[in-house]
Amino acid sequence: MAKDDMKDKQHDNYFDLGAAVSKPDIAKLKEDLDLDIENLTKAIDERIDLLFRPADEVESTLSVEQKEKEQEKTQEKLETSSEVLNSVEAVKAPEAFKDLPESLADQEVRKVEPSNEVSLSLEQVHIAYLALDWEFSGENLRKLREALDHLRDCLKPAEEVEDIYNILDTLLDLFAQDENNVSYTSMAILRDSLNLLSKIAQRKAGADERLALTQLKRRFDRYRSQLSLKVPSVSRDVDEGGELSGGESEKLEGELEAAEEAESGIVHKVEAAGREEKVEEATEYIRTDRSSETHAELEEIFSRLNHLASLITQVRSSLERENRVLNKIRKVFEQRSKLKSVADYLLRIENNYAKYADQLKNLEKDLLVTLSELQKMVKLKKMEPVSEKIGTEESIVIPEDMQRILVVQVDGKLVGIPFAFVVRFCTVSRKKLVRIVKRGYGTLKDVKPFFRSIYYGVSDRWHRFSARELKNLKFPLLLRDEFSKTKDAVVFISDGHRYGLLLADALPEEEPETVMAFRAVEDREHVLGVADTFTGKRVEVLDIESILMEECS
Amino acid sequence: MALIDLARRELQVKIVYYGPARSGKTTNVVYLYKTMNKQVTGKMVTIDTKGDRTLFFDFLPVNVGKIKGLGIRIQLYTVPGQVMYAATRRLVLRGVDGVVFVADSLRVQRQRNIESLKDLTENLNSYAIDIRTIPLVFQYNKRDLAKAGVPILSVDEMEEDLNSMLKVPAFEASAVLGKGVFETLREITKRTIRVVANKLVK
Amino acid sequence: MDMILTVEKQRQLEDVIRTELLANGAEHVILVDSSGSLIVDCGNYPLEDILPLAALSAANFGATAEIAKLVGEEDFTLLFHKGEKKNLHFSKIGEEYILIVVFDKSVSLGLIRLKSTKAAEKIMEILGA
Repeated sequence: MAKDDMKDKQHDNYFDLGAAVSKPDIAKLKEDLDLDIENLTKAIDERIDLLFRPADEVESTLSVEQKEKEQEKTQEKLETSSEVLNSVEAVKAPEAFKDLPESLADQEVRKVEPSNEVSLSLEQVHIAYLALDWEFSGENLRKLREALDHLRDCLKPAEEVEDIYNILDTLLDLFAQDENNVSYTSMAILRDSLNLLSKIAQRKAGADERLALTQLKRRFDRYRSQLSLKVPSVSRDVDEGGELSGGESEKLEGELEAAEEAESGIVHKVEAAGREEKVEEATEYIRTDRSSETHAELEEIFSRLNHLASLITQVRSSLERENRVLNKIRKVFEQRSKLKSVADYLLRIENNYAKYADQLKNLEKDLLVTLSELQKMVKLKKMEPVSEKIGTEESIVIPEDMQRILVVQVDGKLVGIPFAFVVRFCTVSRKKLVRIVKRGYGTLKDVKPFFRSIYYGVSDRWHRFSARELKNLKFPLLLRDEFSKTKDAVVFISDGHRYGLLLADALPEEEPETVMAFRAVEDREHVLGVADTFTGKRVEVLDIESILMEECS
Repeated sequence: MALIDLARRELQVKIVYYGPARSGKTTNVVYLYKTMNKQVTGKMVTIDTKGDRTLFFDFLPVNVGKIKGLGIRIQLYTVPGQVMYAATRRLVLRGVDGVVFVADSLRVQRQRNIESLKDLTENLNSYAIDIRTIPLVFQYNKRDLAKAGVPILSVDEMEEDLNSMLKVPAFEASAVLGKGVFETLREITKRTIRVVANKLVK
Repeated sequence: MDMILTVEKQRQLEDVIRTELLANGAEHVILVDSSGSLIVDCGNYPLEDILPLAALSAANFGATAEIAKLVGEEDFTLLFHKGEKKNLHFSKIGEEYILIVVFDKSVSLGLIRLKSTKAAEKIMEILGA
């Protein structure tokens, strides 16, 4: 008890005013508070006398400040309660993950048939993961790796298994290299990979799982490319231009995504509303024989290179794994003086392997760059005939603002909004929509999911605003006549000074699309031109600037 | 331990209602919660127990609003009075800036009042706080029982037992009827803030 | 004897909390002192719930520390409450502060523990505790 007393005494005296805060801060506070202490305390006393009494006794004339606070609170309460009433916008989990448990940690340990080696191994993996989920330590990481290695030995070799193991090996390497690589995203990928592996190992894999695997690979590639921006490369050799710049990597991302989509043949959820748009020129899609040949060749080259890239990744991670085993063996040898020369020899081999692994890593990076260039060429080739039809003004160089557009469906027609102007877009419930329309404007608070930050879903460009500023922004309804039917989706737009809200029937895609070709158009009100997107949609691109200017002036 | 938040321009102080078991500490705070303007008080926290005894503490946040640009927030706490909760009482007293000692006017509780005051003194000492310097007021609760013919201590007796050395303000009260509750709170709050504000200036 | 929180310190504290915790899946994070005063508050839960949370958390933590002493421990190294949908993690920072992190079941506890430790180190530097 005495010891505790001493401790407490120390704590209480610890906060020496002088040490905790600089003199200027206190001076400023004194100044700001107009520190005539007598007056201040007198004012405080008066306020206490006023407020500390039964509510019905308190004078009805509240101060202006309190009135405003009241209004704010009531407003907040209304909004909070109405948010609760309306359906909450949940983050949509990919369809394939519907059936998977939210967290491996929530799964009960399954009954194991002792004779089934795979089940046993799988259980070990789950246990190791649980331990890691509970506490992130080097030891637990190592145990998970061991469990995974053991499981791998029990599984029949298969492409899907290899793919997942590539992801898992890379992730675990990243975690082991640097604690900073452990993040919400990487942990989520780890968890989802293990879930998927579990299903595949138990021979429960079907079409859903294949789709899930593709999506997982995509997420993982995206994560890695983001990571490569932050982490400087390991080897000295890469310093000359191995790094991808921000803009490049974004395009790269987009192209990789696009490539994978094309390859796996994912069917779009909402079919394009048709190409019968109001563009005056003919829109028939004609391919000449010659260009289709080149196109096929390019595609072939592209797909081979892609495959090569994934092989290289596999080889590299196998090499690294083997090197780790070699390392363990060497350490054992080093303990015996008679085996020292062998140990030295092994060390040289290890170092060589490490060097090769690094070189392979650089090769991977270079390949990615090449692939993206090739991809561009392939797609342009594909689009060529159409662009010929569009007209001579068309140029391959697409203005930066036009490179990505958000495609929305309005009255059965597809329309594009340059993504640079999009602040936030999402579907809304009928009730909420009616409220917004009645009010005449929307706010980001209207579409903010409960318990999420106001920044959720908001384009990066607008993250420079403070949360309060974002909450206070008003987006008046635009183009009321054209978008007059009841809608399902809202798009918050802005040019940085003016703000507006567009209503749409549907959002065909969850992400904005890359524009492959664009032709400007004159004399069309509110329309900048026509764009062909990567997914093959032809849309009219809205002239957001003019729309905003008209409506907001 | 008061918190001065220069970012939000706010002062936070902690006031604890102390006293022997069943003297009316929780009753005080509940009354305040029920009758004060909802702008001023936040949600009251009472840890749910099967009986009507405080198990851990009760808590009520009070917001006085901004005065000359300075916001003032008060945290009101009560302690459990029963003897076995000594450790909890000490815990709740941590960082206290002002104390309301709610004494029980029932004659049979005379000794308990004195013991509780001693307990308070010791606990404050363990935090290097002197009971003679910390803002403190007395509340002699349950005065209404006189009318019911129950034997109660006179104010003089209570003053002699508890306040003869400290000589701080004392209020007669009947928390269950709401008498004296606000007067006590007003006085302790003013005193506490005055002391904290003066410390700021030095 | 009292604590003064400057604008700069508050900003630094919020930065740490944002980068280490909110960015890694935490929903709401508060920093309180051992008496229950709310020092930093980051997230979207309403203040009227946060104030009681601060008071209860400090008391909870204090009570648990007392229990630890009774079993001969200096302090428990993990105080964690697992709910059906939400979880709560407490960490002590220095002798006077407690960091409380609310996160949902999709976030791994190991991750939160890892990041809380990092955040705690940085917060110690900022507060000079």
